[in-house]
Amino acid sequence: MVKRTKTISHIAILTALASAIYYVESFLPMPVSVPGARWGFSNFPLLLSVVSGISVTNTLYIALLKTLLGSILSGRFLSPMFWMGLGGSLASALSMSLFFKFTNKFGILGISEIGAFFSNAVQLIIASLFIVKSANVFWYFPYMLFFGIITAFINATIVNYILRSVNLDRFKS
Amino acid sequence: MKFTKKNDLYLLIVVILLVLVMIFMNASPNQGIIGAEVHLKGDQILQITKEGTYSVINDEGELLMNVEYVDQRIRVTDSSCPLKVCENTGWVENPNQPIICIPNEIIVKPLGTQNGEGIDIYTW
Repeated sequence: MVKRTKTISHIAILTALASAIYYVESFLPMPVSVPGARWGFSNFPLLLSVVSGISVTNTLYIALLKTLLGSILSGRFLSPMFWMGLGGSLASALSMSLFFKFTNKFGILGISEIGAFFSNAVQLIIASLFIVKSANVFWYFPYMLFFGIITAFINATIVNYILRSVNLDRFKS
Repeated sequence: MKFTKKNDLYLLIVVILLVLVMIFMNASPNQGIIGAEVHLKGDQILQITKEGTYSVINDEGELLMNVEYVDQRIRVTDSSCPLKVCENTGWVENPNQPIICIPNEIIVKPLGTQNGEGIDIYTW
């Protein structure tokens, strides 16, 4: 019972953090105009939950809930950008947890880069298949990847500092 | 958990190389365009071959955006979308670069002088 409560509060804290950042980062301007792209700082709670070793299901819950809450707060619920964000964060949560669980080859930075790569790729695939229905969106792929690298580095640094100062074992289920 | 391992560096190098190669391939044929196609939700609704300003209107008759084609360059002005990414894209002269409006689901596809050149990368 205690464990279950701890898991629920862990998910709740990280979700609250992520959706707040999701909302605030929509005010940050992008230096290059790329359709549908955001900086993606709200992915650091996902990275934190992956490297602190909670289960894949719980990480996916955080990804789903932060996109739902964040998009309701910022008023783009069920818009095309919401679907891109949902696909991107689910894909990055899944790929990061799988790489963390089954390979021991990557550090925090590497896991973060993998998440950014899959998030960008899946966002563009969703846009090209369902939204604009044209493969021309892939013109923007290198630019998104470039920003993905920078964001992934910032996210990994934040997570590294948090892991140093917070004992996350207390939250582990 | 360590911050970096050796493989992270290799991963970074691979991704950066990928970015550079793709940007290089995108930029290759860079001479004026001869027109454009406008697609709304995947269907072509407008073919632009003459200079001028064109309005893109959806089925309900709402004005979605204006497309301006002058001097072998094309741009979007007055879009109804919230973030105006399509307007901020500015003038486009490269036939490979589409102007995309995600909220309105519009894609403005410039037509190049050499047909089919440089398109191979995207058809996967």
